[in-house]
Amino acid sequence: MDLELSTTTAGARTVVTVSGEIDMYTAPQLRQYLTDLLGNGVADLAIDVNGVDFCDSTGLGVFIGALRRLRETGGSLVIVCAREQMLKIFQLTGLHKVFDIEPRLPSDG
Amino acid sequence: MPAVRFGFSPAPVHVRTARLVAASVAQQASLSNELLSEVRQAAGEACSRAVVRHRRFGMSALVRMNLTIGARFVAEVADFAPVTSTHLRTPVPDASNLTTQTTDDDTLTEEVALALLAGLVPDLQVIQAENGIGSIVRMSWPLPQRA
Repeated sequence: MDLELSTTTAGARTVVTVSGEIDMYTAPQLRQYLTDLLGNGVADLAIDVNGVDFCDSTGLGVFIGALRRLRETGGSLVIVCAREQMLKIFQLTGLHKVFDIEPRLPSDG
Repeated sequence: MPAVRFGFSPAPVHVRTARLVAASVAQQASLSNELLSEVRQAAGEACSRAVVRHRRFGMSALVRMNLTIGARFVAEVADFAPVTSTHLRTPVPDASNLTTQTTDDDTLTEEVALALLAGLVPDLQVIQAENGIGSIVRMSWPLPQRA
């Protein structure tokens, strides 16, 4: 399954919704998409991965890259994730301690 | 001992095929669904690491994956890129280091892949090939007890 990406806004936050598989083949597409958004001045970003069926280390690497860049500019990143399979790879790598991971967008109530 | 040997050009698109092959063979070995998911993820991580290592050295040689069903289900992924000691360590890197110290995308992929492998696979070895050329990620999982 390929990657599908879309962008919405929720208040001041830009929300990127990702679905499909994030792997070595599709990760460059996601990386470029986020690079373009951050290059256009997006500072408060949420990445919703609840529609992601599979994510590997290259996908995590893309999230890390976005986090680094947002930290440099004083921005923020929220990973929206309630899927057990995705949460597991964050936990296995210890990255759950680094990322702000929420089961849903704060504005969802 | 049933075995499947699989080779692929070091291109990202083929990693997907490799992990599906690994999961399919693991299914033939009657691994539980939970372990099938782990095999799929771990094989993908090992193959991604191998592709990154070949890419770093501009190598077009095939990445090799051997899957065997014996006393355990064993998956071995071999690359043929030069090995340094830092490429063989298996301890989980500190997460804060992953987000601050590593620089280029390929190095980050390799670090995160090793971290994921270490967390996913209790029986994991990352070793230098016997002939000294390349490294091998060796992983095994228990087969279900037969009645």
